[in-house]
Amino acid sequence: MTDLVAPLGSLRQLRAALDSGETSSVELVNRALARAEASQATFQIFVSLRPEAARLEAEAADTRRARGQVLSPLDGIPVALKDNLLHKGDLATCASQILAGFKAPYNGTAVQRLLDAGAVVVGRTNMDEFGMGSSNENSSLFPTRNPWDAQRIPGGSSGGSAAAVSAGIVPVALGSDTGGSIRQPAAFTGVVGLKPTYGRVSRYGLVAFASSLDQIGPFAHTAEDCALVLEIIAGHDPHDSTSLPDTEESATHFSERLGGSVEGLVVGLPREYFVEEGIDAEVLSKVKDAVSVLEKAGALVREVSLPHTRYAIATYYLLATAEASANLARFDGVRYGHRSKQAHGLLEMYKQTRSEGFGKEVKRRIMLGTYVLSAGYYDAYYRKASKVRTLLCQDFEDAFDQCDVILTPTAAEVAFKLGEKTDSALSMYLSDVFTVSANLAGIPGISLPCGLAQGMPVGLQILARPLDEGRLLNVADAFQRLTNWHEQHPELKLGAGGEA
Amino acid sequence: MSMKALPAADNSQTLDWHPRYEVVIGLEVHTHLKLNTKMFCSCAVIYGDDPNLQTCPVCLALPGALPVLNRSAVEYAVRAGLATNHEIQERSVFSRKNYFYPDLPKGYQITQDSLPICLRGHLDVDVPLNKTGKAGKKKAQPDGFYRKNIGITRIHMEEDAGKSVHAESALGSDDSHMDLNRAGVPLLEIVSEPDMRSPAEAAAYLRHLHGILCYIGITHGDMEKGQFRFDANLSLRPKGQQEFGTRTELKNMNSFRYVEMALNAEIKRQAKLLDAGEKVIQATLQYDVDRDEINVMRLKENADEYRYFPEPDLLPLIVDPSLIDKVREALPELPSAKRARFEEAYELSTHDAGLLTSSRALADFYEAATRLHGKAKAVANWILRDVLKVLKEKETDIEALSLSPEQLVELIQLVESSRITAKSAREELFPAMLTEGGKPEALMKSLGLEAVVDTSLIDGVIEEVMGENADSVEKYLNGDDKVLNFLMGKVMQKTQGKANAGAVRETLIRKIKG
Ligand SMILES: [Zn+2]
Repeated sequence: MTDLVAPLGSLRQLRAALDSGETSSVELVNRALARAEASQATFQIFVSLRPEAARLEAEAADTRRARGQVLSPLDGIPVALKDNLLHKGDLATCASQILAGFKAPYNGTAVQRLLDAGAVVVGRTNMDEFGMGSSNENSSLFPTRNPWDAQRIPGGSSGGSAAAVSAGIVPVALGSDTGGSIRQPAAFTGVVGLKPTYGRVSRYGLVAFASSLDQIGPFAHTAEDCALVLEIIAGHDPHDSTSLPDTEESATHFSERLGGSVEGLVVGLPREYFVEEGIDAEVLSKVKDAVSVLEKAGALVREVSLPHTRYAIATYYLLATAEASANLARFDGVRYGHRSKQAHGLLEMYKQTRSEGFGKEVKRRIMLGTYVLSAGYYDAYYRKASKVRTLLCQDFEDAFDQCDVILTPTAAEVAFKLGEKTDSALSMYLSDVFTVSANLAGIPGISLPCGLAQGMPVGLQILARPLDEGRLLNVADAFQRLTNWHEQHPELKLGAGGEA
Repeated sequence: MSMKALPAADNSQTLDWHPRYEVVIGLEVHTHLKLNTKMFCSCAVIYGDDPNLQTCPVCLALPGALPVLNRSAVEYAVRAGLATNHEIQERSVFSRKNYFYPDLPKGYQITQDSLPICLRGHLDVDVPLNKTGKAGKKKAQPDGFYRKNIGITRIHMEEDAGKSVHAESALGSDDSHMDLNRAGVPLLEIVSEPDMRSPAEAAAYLRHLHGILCYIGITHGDMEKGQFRFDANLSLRPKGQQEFGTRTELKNMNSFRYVEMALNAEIKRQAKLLDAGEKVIQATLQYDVDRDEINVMRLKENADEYRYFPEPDLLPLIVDPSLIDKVREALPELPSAKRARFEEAYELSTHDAGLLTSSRALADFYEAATRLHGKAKAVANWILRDVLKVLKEKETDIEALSLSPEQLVELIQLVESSRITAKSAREELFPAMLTEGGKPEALMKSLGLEAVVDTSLIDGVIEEVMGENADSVEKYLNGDDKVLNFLMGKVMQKTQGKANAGAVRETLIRKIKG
């Protein structure tokens, strides 16, 4: 297993190499595929690869480049897609048996924009089934391993995409974030993960988990790379009624506007997040170190309050499961996907198909959500949670009156071991505590590496006002110019994890 | 605009439909909107296309597909709301109504629940009064009308479901197939208050509502195609009792006549149960027209559980007040106002005015012809008697008939100037006009239908008839007036109906008496 090709590096590095003629798109795609294939047995990052199509697309990209017709900074760059993003003609299973063999009949908007930019999709990454999970252990196929330590989980639900970037297979991958599904795996695998403002990136062609919370975003090694990807996939889409209009305010030239200093920036630390109990001491100290880095560079640090934080997890799980219970109703065996062969009669067909097709956690959440919306419980659960959501939004508005960005740990600990939390759904749910509020409030958030604890990456989360990705990326970029945590990559140990 | 003739809106003017029980009826109407594309995607709305051709990721509910509201549907809903006296809501919300059925691809219907686009409407409906036989046969013309105010709770926007097609396969299996062309077709649901107290009131309300919705151009209203269909809730309560009885729901009807029959059958059924001291059980019912029988589809043990919640894929619908004003200004004259105006301006009976305003096109035709001719009554008679008969026979409407107001007026004028007898005009020239087209006068000449005005010829025939029927002449002279018709008939026979009847009559009397 010593023939593992070298990690690809960052988007910026690969662009430079392509521009200088040092490498070609075909070579990059071949390296990405080779690294993906070689690492698959140990880390199980991909659910499917598309080597032939990717190579053809890479050739086309090289031809364009030779003619001086480069489409974008992503032209010819190998990328990976989370398995819930529709890419026409390719499988789209959400790591679920109910969609086993399902091929996307159309391109999602974000995917289409990547393709239009010349990006080459090399494969689809593993995830918790339908995005429901924080560890990737809820994939119906296999659990993805953390590239830093194959005994550990990579986080979830976009664990495969995070791992694909962390493992140096692709410089960029897309994921989706409903309650932290981009930021938490980014933290656990030592990469940058960006959840944009709700409505910034079209959800058309993203298989819905919780429609009012879901948002597509990029993984990369740097904030700058994320900025480049975001400006390609962001923007109004007439196919998504919740996608934001293109306005002056929502202008997307993020990468051009990077490089500012943090001098005078007001950084808010929410009192409710920086508590001793419940946070790993080493993690907390790394995050505090990160705050000091910014402070030394001229940022002003002040405590702020998000008083309704303790209701966030409950609110999130009530609303997300309610929406999911309806979103997953279309997987009924009638038109596509799995249909039980055992069943006779309509009702039995529904029951068998869904019993066989969905995994345990998905069924749990469908049942929870169905309950939350039931007559007699709606007011106590769904309606109350909606009201608390409004309060949580207000919390952020008030906090952002006092500061420009909010800094928190992305997760309370580093990546845990496989099987460590699978016995308790609740302890798994609680691991989303720092990330769900941003989804409930619709604000943008980014996680970036800020150190190591127990040899594993620690994530720093930065939150900003709605549509303030410009500032968010600037602060993250400034931090990365002041530190080199993002340049620390795992040494892939093949065969080290073994089957769990 | 003056209103006349009918008693003012008065809910006490209700017929005692049943001797012991008060009948309580509420109606839910579903009407397809006359739009080219579906409610939440850009698929075409086409009736009768091959199955599943008009589908896309959105209406097939493919993973990742999202709904986008058809903005024209909003304008239509506002139009419907204003025409039925609703308060248009500047903010309304779409919701998901969750249930599993193969014709419902998403597993939920996008509809409006607690915050619909129109609230608190009402209609003044003229209910035909039929003094003879309550549930019995309809007379051609009612004995009058009374006006009833019927409340409308709400109008909301939603999408239709697909259709199950039960195909008999070669193996004789009972495979079901889905046609999703109809899935996502834009609908309005119009929910009345339980204000109707008889099947006649229910039918009158439905006809009135149908008329309005067609008038304002938001629906084709073709009932055969399911573009206007309704469910009825019905309960009985002992007269004088305040609280409602247990109600049943009659599902999916699409004929004004059958809805009356169905409600009558259900009243009978419920009354029989109550008379026997039994309970009415809440249930969904279907009416079997052929057997005049009520069938129970399913019992409703609990209230339906649809788990409504706000549709997160759509933003709340904001209707700009300027749109409401714009739509209000563009509303056409509504059928009831038009009918009242016709009664007044053209001195028509309520019944005749109702017929002439039964569609906007017919009313326009009548008014155009009246303007050309000048005598409203004469034109009305022709349309009511002859044109409507043809429309009924051909099951068509005035727009599809090749008849212009100019042609009709020319025909009437030919009769008035005795160029043609009324009989040949009606029986020969008019049908020929419809098939041949062209100018009635030229057609009359080419068909040789011109009236015989040669008095010497008429005189000759009359003398001939008098000679052959001397006994009848005798009887007439002895005071039996009736034989005159017999003699006239003979004369008309010999002149092949081309003789002017007035002239024949006059000459005949003169000759007998002379
Ligand atoms: Zn469609």
